[in-house]
Amino acid sequence: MKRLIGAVWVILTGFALQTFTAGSAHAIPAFARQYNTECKTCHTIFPERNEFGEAFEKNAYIWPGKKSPSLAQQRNEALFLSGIPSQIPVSFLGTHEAVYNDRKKQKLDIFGTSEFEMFTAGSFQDKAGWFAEYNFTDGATGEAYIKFKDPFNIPMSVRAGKFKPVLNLWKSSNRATIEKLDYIQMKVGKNPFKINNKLNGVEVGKMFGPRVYVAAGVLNSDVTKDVDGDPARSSNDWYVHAQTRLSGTDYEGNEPEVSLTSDSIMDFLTITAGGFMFNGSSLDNNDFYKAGLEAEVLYKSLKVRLGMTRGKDDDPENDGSGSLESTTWLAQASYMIGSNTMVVARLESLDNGERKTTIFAPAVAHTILQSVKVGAEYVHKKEGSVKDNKLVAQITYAF
Amino acid sequence: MIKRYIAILVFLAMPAVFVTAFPAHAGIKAIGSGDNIEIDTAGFPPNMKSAYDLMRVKCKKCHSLERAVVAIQTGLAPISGGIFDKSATGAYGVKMLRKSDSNMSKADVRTVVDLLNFLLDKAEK
Repeated sequence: MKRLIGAVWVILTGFALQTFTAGSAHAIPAFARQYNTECKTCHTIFPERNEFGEAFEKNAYIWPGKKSPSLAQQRNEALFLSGIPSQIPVSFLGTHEAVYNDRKKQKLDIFGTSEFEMFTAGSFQDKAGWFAEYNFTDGATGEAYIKFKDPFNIPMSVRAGKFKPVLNLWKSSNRATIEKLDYIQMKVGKNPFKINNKLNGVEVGKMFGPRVYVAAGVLNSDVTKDVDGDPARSSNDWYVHAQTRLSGTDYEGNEPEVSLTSDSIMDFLTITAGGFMFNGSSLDNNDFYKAGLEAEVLYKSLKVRLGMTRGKDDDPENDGSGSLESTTWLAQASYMIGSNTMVVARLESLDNGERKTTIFAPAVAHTILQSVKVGAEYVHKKEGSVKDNKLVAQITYAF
Repeated sequence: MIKRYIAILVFLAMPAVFVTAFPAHAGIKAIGSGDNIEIDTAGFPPNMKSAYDLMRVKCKKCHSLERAVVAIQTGLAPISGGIFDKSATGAYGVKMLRKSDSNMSKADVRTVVDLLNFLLDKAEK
């Protein structure tokens, strides 16, 4: 009996090692394990993506230009023929926050906020990629989708499931700082829509050459539910997004042409511009739209982001009291000091039709290791005549 | 008698089999392995030796030389699996030049690219 138990443990241990062990002794998240490369291949200060990381994401999490390995290169024929990755691609993210807020009774909250999330992401050879997240703290699934690359040999991507629609240039997680940009979290009245909402639907993306990307999608509307829990009216939201990488690394991951014998400002200049339009329905009778224009300029270690959005809701209070128009502005500058430290400052102005909010937030982020980050952010917020100041310190680690 | 001749022919053919089955990269000799891998520069011309010294300082700032050695020896970039030839060396040079805090000048990149091309030529011999 003891011999049998011992044999079972050996088998289970061997399976676990086979499944979870990467070639390197360093602990690195899912994509880094899959491609045996470091975090900085795709990230500046994680999770903010660099130019190549943007191309990787647009390519359905498949290494741009990489051919799927041949059968001879695979360790396991059965897994290869099944299209199943030979390693289970799972990562974890832990976050601990300490906050000082002089408007709270408990001014100093020492790591009262802790979150632990699990991510799974990878690719089925060079046909499709997937991404899913689960937050252990909330007990909720976040995004969960599959993204097909060139389905039926049609040059486009198709994403289906629950995801954050491609609207603004920067996914809410595509940042090095602690706090999310406020304009992507802004709501108007009782309308639950936010730019960074996770919604259920389908999205089609297409590259027009290596420097233009267009996406469009259809989603379930978040309208009032009837007693059976079904939508009380038939409606679907739709959106369109377009962006162009005017200079720098293109969306296929190719570096620009750079002369090694003469200098040009274009050698280190990356310019990205984009816009979106979202048309949706919510509540009982609220039809709304949100449109935005954004630009990002990167020169060596300095990055500047600018953006503005406009929107209109027909009945955001859900009481027939009338429409509201909303406007937001963003200006953010960041600078990399060396390769492990980033200083950032952002200024946002939000007008949701009922009150104006101004946010000024300088921050610093430093990676002790590529997968371990510490940061601090001071947030000064003025909502109408009410001012709020808080200092947030955060430790984040991923493996 | 015939069996003896066949045995002799097989014995003489064996080295050819090994040569074709296991391509030799006798032109590049690596010392050590993993993070500590180095290239043996014995026999390199002086300018290539100094180029290698530069490469050791600049490139090892962020990663080991293993990926470069593997790429030169196999002709394939170890991460992407793409062809690593003389057009790729220039592209990788630009990629490294544009990374923040690479601390590489264009002159440094030219020197390292020349070295990589020299090593690719040696690897084919």
